[in-house]
Order: sequence, then C-alpha cells, then structure tokens
Amino acid sequence: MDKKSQEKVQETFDFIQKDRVIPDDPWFYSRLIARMEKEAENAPQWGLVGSVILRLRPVLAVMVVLIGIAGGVVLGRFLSIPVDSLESTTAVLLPEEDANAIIFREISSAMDEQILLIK
Amino acid sequence: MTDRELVQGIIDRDQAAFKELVETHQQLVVRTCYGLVHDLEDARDLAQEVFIEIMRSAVAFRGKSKLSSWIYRISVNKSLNYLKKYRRREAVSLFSIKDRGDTPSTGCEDVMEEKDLKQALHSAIGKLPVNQKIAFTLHNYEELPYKEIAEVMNVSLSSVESLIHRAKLNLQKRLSYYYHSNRS
Repeated sequence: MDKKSQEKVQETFDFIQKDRVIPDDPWFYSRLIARMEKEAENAPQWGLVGSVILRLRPVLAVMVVLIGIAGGVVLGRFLSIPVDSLESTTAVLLPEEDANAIIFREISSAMDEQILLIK
Repeated sequence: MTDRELVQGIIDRDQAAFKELVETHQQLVVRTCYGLVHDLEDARDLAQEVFIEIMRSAVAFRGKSKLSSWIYRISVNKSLNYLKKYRRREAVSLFSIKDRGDTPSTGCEDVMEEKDLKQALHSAIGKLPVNQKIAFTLHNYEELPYKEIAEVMNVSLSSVESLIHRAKLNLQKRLSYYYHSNRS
C-alpha cells in the first residue's frame, strides 16, 4: 500500500470521532410519546380476556395439537375392527366335495326348469 | 434514580421514570443505531422503537446485566432487523462513490471531502460480517470497553478482541484498495 493511500485510510479511521457526534434532538421525547399514543389508539382493543388469550397463545397451540393426537388415538381404537369380528364376516369355506354337490344341484334344478318350460 | 428504580418505575408506568430513561439513554441508543444503519433519521426512528420495546419488556429485565448492556442489546437487535429488511441500502458499493469525480468545484472541498470520507467509511463498515460490525461499532462509536461488548454480544472477551482486530484489518484492506484504485 502506498503512503498516500495509507494516510487516507488513517484519515478515514480518524473521521469516526467526528461521525460519532450526534446532534441533540430536543423533540425526541415529544415525538416518542406522540408515536406511543398513536400506536395505543390503533392497537386492537382485546380486553382482559383477550389479552390473557393473547399471552397464552403458545400454550393453546400446544394444547390443540395434544388434543388432536389424543382424539386420533381414541378414534383409532374405536373404529378399528376387532380380529374376532373379522373372522365372523369372512365367507365360510366349504369342503370341496360339498361345494361340487351344491353346484351340481343348482345346475340340475335349472335344467329341470328348462325341461318343464319346453313341455 | 438507580437502574433498578428506573426499571421499576417503567414497569409501574411512571412517566417521570420513562422520561428520565429516555433523556439519559437517548444519545447512546441513537448513536448505536446510527453506527449500524448509517442514516441519522432512520437511527432516530429505530431509537423510538427501542424505547417502546424497553417499555413493553421492562418486566423481562432481571437485573443480571447492566441496564445499559440490555439497552445496547435491544438497539443492536432492532438495527440488525432493520438492515435485514432494507438490505439494499447497504448495497452501496465503495466504487459507486468515485462516480462523483466530475462534480464541479464549488469551493466546498472540505465538505465534499468529509462527505467522501463518511461514505467510504459507512460503505466499508456496512460490508463487514455482522459480528465484526457490531463489535467494531460498539467499540468505536460507543467507545465501550471489550468487557461490556462481550456482555452485550454474549461472547467471550477473547472473541471480542479477535472480532475487533479482524474488523480493523478488513476495513484497512477495503479502504486502501478503494483509495489506491481511486487515485490510479
């Protein structure tokens, strides 16, 4: 770095002492109070119950999630089909011989009906 | 009033206590915000937000750290949030400053030079990494000792020393490069 640039860098660092001097603002407090009043006017009026609810929002959110999970578990238990009832609803399988006999009986009765109709 | 009495007064919505807090800490807050955002009007607006925040969260102040450290922390957080929101303002390049080279001489060279120094300084500080920027600003604009900076930033003393050292090196590098290339 050349000497001229070095001097300029030092000058810039020294300038901080000037830059940090902030002129006083005599109206700062009045403007702050005016702003706070304006914000208070525009703020929604929640009342006591509302403000309690606002403060408890995170707790309420957690409770809703927990109630949802518990509800899901309870519903799952009630709606699930027990194994016993599953057995009762499934079709009863017949032994092969019985099944063939039933089919034969149905076919022969159908043939009897057709023969009667022809007569 | 002591720090504790001031905070208790604010919790009790005592206007005299709030007024005293604002009057005694106004410069501190505005200067900290200005050191980070580099615009006086924005710094004053932010300072108002800082005092509103102090009013709202006075109950949360436990007195473990100094009141001023707590106020510095709020000021730094508000300023950083502001910078995050309006980052484009920080995007002023050091090299956009020299574009004003063809400005006719008006006999106000000193004022112009000061303006150039200010812009070069602000731009270089604006480009520092966040932690270096905070440490450098608190040390150079607020003249805070390293110990208090460590308390405000919630880091160790050696970290603060390292952050400020690196910030100075970074600034030196950026500024010398700028001035060197500006002259050639």
